[in-house]
Amino acid sequence: MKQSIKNILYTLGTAFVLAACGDKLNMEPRNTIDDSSAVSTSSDVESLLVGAYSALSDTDVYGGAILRDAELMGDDGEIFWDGTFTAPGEIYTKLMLVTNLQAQDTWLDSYKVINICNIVLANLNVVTPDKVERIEGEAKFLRGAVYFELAREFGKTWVDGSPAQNPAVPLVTRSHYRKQFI
Amino acid sequence: MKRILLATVLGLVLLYTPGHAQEKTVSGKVTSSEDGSPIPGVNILVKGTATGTTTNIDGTYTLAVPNNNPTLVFTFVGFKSIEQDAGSRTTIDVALEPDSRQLSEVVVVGYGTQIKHEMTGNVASIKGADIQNQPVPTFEQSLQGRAAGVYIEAGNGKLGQGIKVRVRGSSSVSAGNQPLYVIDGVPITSQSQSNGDGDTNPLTDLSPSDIQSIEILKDASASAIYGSRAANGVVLVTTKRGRSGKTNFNFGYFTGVSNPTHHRKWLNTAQYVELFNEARKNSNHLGIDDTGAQSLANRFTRYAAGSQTAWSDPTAADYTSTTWEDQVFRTGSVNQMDLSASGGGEKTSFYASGTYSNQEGILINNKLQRISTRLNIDHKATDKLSLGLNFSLTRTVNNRLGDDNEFSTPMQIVALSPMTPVIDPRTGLLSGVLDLNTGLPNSNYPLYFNPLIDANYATRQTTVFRNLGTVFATYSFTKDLSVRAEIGYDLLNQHEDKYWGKENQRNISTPNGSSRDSWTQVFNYTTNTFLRYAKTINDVHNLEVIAGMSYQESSRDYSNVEGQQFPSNSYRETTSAATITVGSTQETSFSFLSYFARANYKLNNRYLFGLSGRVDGSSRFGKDNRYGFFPAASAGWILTEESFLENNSTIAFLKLRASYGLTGNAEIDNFASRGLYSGDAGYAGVPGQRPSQLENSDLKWEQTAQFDIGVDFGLFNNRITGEIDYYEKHTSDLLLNVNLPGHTGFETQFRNVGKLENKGVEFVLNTDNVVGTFRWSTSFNIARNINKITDLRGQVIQGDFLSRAVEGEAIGIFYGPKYAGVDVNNGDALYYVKNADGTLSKTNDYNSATYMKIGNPNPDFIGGITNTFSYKGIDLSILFQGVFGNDIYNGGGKFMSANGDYFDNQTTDQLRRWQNPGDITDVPQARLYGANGTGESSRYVSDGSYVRLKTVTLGYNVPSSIVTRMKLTKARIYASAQNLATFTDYKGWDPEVNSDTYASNVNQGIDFYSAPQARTITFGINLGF
Repeated sequence: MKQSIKNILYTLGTAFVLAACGDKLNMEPRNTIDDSSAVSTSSDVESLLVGAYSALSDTDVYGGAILRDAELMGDDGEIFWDGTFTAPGEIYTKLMLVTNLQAQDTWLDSYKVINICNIVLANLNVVTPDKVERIEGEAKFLRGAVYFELAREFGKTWVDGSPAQNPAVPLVTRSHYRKQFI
Repeated sequence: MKRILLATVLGLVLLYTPGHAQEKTVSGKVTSSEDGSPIPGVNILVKGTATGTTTNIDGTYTLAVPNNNPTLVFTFVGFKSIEQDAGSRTTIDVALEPDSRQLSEVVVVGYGTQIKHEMTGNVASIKGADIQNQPVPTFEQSLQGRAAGVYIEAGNGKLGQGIKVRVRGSSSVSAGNQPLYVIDGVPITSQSQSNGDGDTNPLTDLSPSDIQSIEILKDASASAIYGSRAANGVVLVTTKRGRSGKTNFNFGYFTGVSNPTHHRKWLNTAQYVELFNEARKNSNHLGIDDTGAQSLANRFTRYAAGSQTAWSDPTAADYTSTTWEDQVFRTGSVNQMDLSASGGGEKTSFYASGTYSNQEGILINNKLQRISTRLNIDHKATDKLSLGLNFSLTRTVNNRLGDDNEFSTPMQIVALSPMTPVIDPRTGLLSGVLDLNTGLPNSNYPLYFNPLIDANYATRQTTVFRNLGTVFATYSFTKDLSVRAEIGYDLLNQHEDKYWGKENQRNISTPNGSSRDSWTQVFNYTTNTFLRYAKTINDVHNLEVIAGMSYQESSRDYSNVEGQQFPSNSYRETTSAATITVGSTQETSFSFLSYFARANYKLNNRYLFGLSGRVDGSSRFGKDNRYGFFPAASAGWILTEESFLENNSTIAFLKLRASYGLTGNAEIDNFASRGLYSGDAGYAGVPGQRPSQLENSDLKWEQTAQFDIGVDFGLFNNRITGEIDYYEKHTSDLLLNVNLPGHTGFETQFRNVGKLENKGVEFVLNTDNVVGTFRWSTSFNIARNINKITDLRGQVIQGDFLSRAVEGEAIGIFYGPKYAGVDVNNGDALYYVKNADGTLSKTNDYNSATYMKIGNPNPDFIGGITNTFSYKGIDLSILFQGVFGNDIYNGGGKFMSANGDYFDNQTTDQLRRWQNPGDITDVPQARLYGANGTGESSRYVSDGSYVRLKTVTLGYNVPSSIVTRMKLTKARIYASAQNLATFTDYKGWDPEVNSDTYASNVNQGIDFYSAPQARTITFGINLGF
């Protein structure tokens, strides 16, 4: 057999062996799960609703900050803030910088609760019928409560301008999940 | 039978001609052409076979060779190889010509080797011999100043911490910027596996004594064969192998001591009292604070362990002025012993080694101990089949320290007040251990938690077992065509064992001690299979083609348990904890499936062409963008092979080369492209879940297009050789952690957004200044890289302090208020404000200061120069390394250099504070709680340029007459110094700094109580027998 033909044959043979490799790139996460299968049963929606309570208990939301900051903002000489944390200090002195990290954290963590409630509400169709009313009610209540707090914290006061027209915060009632933003 | 089986498996019929040609014996002597001295250890090989030997101490050899006019090849490091046809001769004496430039040297490239002078890519090659016997924790540190365009920075002087390596600049903002590390063909785990206390460096597990060579692939033509992970360069490490012939033993030992490169100066008690009394008065006067004189005196007395005279009366017996920095530094030590054997017979050769090294750091409680063994075997089964094995096992034990931002880390001890005694006279124990009133550790004495308590009553020990193994086989189908298959694995097993005794209560916020045990296991395996075809036609056309595939899979398992409440410090394992506070397990994995090919073509020995490509698929990429293609092309022209330059005595070698190619970056989270839910959202014991990551199925690799043009030259008989390169790296589709509108319920998402570029030049010059008995050679390199982020869609990526990634600037610039000094009239700190017309004015209102670029942590130039002298048996090597034009931000400045803002002890330069109207100084008026100049600003930016006398080694090779009498083949003693002198204007501890708390792509050049590097003096011996 000619050398060159041999070379070609061996090369093709090896290529055949190599090409036989299967698709080994489908690694699945273990600490987390893919969102496509996360909310497919009634109990999935129920545990998601528990997640909303968990998010609500975050220290930046009902875990404390919203309540504390309302006091700091409403203070008129009754209380005194002292400590090394600058963000609450700025709220207390009513001299907030745009970089105030507490404002950022409260905003972000509050909308996390709202987003979870929206996903719960969008998936009521898989919930066991006799639980639908309870779950829908809780999700709407939690969402409403957070909007109430956000409007109080970020919106204008009721004596400033026209309360009926004053914008407060963006009202998001459907989950943006899976959509792209820039 | 074995052969038949093999043939069946491959489906091939093998032709095999057994035969034993008649043999004869050849002997002779190998000398140096320069001075006629014998050269021991020269490798002599019968060309085309594995038969060979090495010369003895007197340069003589005896070798049995086949009787069919074989060719003998004589090779020795530092000399030109010589081939001799044996013919009918039985005595062959050879004189080898020195060749320190070695343009004919072989360089390891991806999936093969190339001859350096035929290369069209840019590869920095460092011999293992140049970096051995250095007292550094990991081999990359010995590369500092030796490879052009490779910036290596150890962030601090703690042993075993992470190291920053940037090959031709930073190519990413949010994805990894470290190069890909490949050991003997297998990509290894090089990412930190540390859980707390800053990053560790898994390359510490590799014994530098086992390294034969290190190649750093810098341009696209060299690195694109590694595809989606090559944009940050590729570091190839090749370990030592045996050669047939006599078994050579090598024994090495060195021992030494180390000290910090630099100390800082701190206020003594009298100065401290003076400054804070003044600061209090000023603040009273200005109405900032109403602390009274008595209240401050009480505080001083508290810090002075309850004694008023200890701080106020220098004549008192208990007067105290502690230099706290001295309490955490010590004289460190380093010891290393290694023994290796290498050799082999006609068919099998081996390299076996064992190394023990033990380093005690310059900081108390810091220690790194490594025991490693390695066995590399090569076996020629038949004429067509050769196979082999690499196997190494290492145990690394690292006694670690808290990260730079922990009260317990040794360096933060400098914040303590000088009137505080080390031992509290009230208890006879370390200050802070016991409050007699409560029976518990003190809660407000000394000023902060005393790091000495951590040093004495806590442990942070990380033990790593590391096993690297490779099995490989090469089969030659025909003369020209062969296939190589290799499977390699990297098993990393790590145990982080931490315990804090009850004395640490003030720091860990829990009584009766706490513990944390974390186990990490990373199993990372790779299979490579590739064909190699090499053919020379009529001595005109040289062609080499490789093509193959590679699969890599890495999985990481992690478990962690934490407990609190221990009966006593004698109980340290979590089994004795009354409360188990944390238990967690995690798993993650990634894979890469790749197909690659490369062709190198050489025409008439002068026209060089290279083409390579890799198709990379990764589990990390989005499902709509699974596979990327990374091609590169290059060309070279060896002008000195042309008739018009042939035999030109001035220009001995001249080559032009150019390359262009695409490489990628895939160093992101394993599941960054997926939409994810987390099950960590339980509430009050009821399980819950939450969405945790937004899907981006389009997510793909970051792409870097790199252009490189270079010239390699050799002048005056190659007495002067060098390389000049210009490159441009344009990175697009940056893997960026993009900010999202908060009302989506998510904060960030990984997207391919943005562009950046690196442009630079590299210059390498090697000269033989004096040759003969006295030799002097110089190796010099310098590189400039300009990094610029060109597009982030207007986003600002914030780091810590004032570090930012912004469009139009280099990554990690310092961006913030610019300090304008001190108001001469009132001592206020001033900052610049940009007016509407663009002019600058000054303000004492920090909040109204204009943010601007106030520093750049990326160096303008990096370089190194090595001078080597030798005379008879004596050799001296001196390496200077330099980094120029980079800035450092002292994140601890607002505490340690804050003109008496709070009670942290201050650097002595704060004594030149403003005191009276008319004072001209750069330190504002001292004001307790006054925040006078303490905001983050350019006040704490300084130039970090430095030149370091990195390594000096003086060695003596014992003359062969004596060595022979001792039945040795080689004996060398040496003294070596690392970081002997540092020349810098930087006022901190050490200009080679990046705090382990903050170090990231954006956070560069940050000093935060970061330990200085060690200055180490060692003495060592190497014996061959």
